Formats: sequence, structure tokens, C-alpha cells
Amino acid sequence: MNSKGNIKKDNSQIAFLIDGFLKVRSTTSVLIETHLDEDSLNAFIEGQLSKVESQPIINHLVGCSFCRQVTAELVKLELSFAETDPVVSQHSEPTKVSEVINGLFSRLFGNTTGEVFAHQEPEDEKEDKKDENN
Amino acid sequence: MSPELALYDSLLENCEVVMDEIYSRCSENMPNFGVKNGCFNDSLKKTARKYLFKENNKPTSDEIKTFLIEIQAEDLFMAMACSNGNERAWWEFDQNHRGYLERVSRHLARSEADAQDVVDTVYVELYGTRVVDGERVSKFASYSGKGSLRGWLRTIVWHSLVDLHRTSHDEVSLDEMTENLGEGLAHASFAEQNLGGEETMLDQITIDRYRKVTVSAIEDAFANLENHEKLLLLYYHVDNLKLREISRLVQEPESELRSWFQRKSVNREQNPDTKIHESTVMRWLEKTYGKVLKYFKNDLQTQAGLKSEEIGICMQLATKDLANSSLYRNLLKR
Repeated sequence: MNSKGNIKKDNSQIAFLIDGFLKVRSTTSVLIETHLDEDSLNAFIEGQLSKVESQPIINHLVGCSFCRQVTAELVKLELSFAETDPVVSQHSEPTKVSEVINGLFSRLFGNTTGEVFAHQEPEDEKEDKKDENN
Repeated sequence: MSPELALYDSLLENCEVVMDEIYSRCSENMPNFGVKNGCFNDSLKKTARKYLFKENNKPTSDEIKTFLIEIQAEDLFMAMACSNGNERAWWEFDQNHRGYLERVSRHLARSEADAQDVVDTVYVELYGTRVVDGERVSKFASYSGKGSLRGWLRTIVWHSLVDLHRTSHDEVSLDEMTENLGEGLAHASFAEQNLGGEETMLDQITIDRYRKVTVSAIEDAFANLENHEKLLLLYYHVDNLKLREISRLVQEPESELRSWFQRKSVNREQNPDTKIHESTVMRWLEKTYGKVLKYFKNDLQTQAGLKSEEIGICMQLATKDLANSSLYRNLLKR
């Protein structure tokens, strides 16, 4: 490598070699059974992890083509939505979560399962209501 | 409890004041969400245990405090309230995020019906259908606040869509599933090299030997890279991320991928918030290729005892083989 020209040519050749090598390697990768959870994937994609935090994730991504492909697709997806303004729904009144969920189940399974998803009021809310009544 | 866990817990206890401050801010902004102080602090501790406390890492109190301050606390607060089934929190969640969930889902799904199915499924999953020890388990409980809630939701939608396709088409590869995102095939466009006639003068035994040592050298060269360099090459060559997309991945000034590549950059020290352009990522790639080349040549010289002219012939042979796909076959036979 005596000149810049040679460096470029050599780099181009090695890039071609590494391209072929990596594509073959990706078809022969060992199957990894444990994958990264959504929380870790997202934190990594958003660049929220420090060196200590991201090192195990990078190590995993180098060996796990499944998770790497998921991160790659999520990066593409994030980029597609990066410049879009947040959309706020048009509902003007609070809807009961139990109603929303029951509605969804009706659509998904054709019947309601209200008894399973009966709303549980948190203890402190019950106490608040008691205070209001008193 | 192991001594290590006890140490972590005592470190976290020293940061209770910071956690209480974060809680006060959140409950002031979202007064009707019904999240209790103790539960919120437990959740912050859980996040710290998950991400910060790793083997051989003993963070200082200041590092833990910085970690806690950087958590997306309001998103976590909302997620906890939704997980508890708080009506007001669900209403706000629906107002703020349903539109986004629907748009992401429509963008990924092949039909409006699929998109609606995914949003419905995600809502059900977020609310939680599984009951463990009498408690409903909401998907929100797995959100740690380390990334944004919106980003986390995007990941949930994506996974949900993969599951939907797998259910309806047995096993569908991710490639097939994501082909509608408009990504092309490999985008590395390396011009085919103009091959000399050296190989015609070599006997078959020598050619076979060159091929063998070339494959071994490229494997060793890749193995010698650091993991963030390997990841960069894999994203570019295997997962077909474009330079623009890789630059997005390292856009955050705190991104460690970015800091690894820029650790010796004077510019970074002076302007840590500088935007990463595609040309910068290309330079990182060039640097990594340079490193691979160095290891590759060194391996051929020291392990295979080749001279520089022979190394040139190896590269030409490999380039030609790759163009004809025969090197692929050789690799697969190994």
C-alpha cells in the first residue's frame, strides 16, 4: 500500500470479500434461543445505553442474526416516523378501560369477557372516593 | 441474598432522595394516576438492576443518580398507572399514543384488517390477559423507562405483527415479513475487479491452497475485530442498513456505538452533539475495512507464509470466486 489509490482499491476488494463472507456466515449462524426483550431492543435503538449497559447487547447482536435483523428493521421504522408529528386521538371524554378492552375482545373473539377484565380500582382511589363522600 | 445483590440494594438505598424527587415531579404532573411512591421507587430500582448492575461493574452513587435521572420517568409513571388499570392513565395513553400505534401498524401491515388486528392485540396485551397469583399481568410491567414509551410501543407493534404473520403463514422469515418496507437487496455495490491473468499460470493445487488460506484469513480477520466493528459490518452487509439508517442508530450523543468510533476524535470532544452524517459512517466503514485488510494480510503472511505478490493473487482469486459464488460453496463445506 504505497499510495492513497492503492488503499482505496484494496479497501474495495476487502469490502467485496467481507460482503461475501458475512452473507455466507449469516446463513450458517448458530441458532440462539434467548433473544433480547423489547425494552432492551428499544433502549439500544434509541441510543440510551452507556458502554457498560450496551456491551452485552452488542455482543448478543453480533451472534444473533434474529435480534440484529429486528433492530435493523426497527431502525428503518423509526426513521420512517422520525419526522412525523405525534397524533392525538379525537376522543373528548375519558373512556372506561374495561369498556375499551371488552370492545376489543368482542371484535377478536365475538363475545365479551367482562367478568375477567372487571376494573380493579386501586386502593388509594377507593380511599379518595371515601373521603369525597365523607 | 448474595453479597453482590445486597451491595446493589444498599447503593440504591443511598439514592432514595433522588427517586423521591423524580416521583414528586411525576405525581405533580399526573396527579390522578394513583401510582404509589414505594412502587415507583421499586420500579426504578428494577431498571437499575437490569441495566446498570452488571458483572464487574460497581457504579458509584453519582453514576446511579445520573442513571436514575436519565430514566424516562414520566413514561414509566404512565406505564405503571396503566399497568394498575388506572382509568385516567389509560385515557391519556389512548389520547397520546393510539394514533401513533395505528400509523405504525398500518405502515407495517399488508392490509387495514391486519393493522387493526395488531392494534387490538397490542391493547389486549398491554392490559394483560394472564393472571398470576390472582394478579393480572400487564405488558406495561415489562417497560423499564430506559427508552421512550413510544419507541417501546413501536417494538411491541413490530413483534405483534411478526407473530400475526407467523400464525397465519406458519413460519415466515423476517425478510419476507419486512419486504414491504421497500428495502432492496444487498446495497454494497463493489465493482467487479479487473482480474489479471496470474491464476492461469498457477497449478490447481496452488490455487486450492490459496483459496483455503484466503477463507481462513478472512475469518480470522473478522474474528479479530471489536464487537462494535463487527456489528457495523453486519448491519451494512447482511442486514442492508443504509448509511443514513446507521447514522440514525448513532444519532444520540450518548450512543456508545458512536462514542466507540469517535473515541479518538478531537471534534467529538469539542462538539459532542454534532450530527452524524452518512459520510461519517462511510469513514467508519472505511476504517473498519482497513483494519480487516491489515489483519487479513498479516494472517496470510504470518500463518500461511505468503509473500505480498501471493497475497495479491489470493485477493484476486477470492474476488473472482465471489463473483462466481464458488467461494460461498467452499465456505459452506467447512
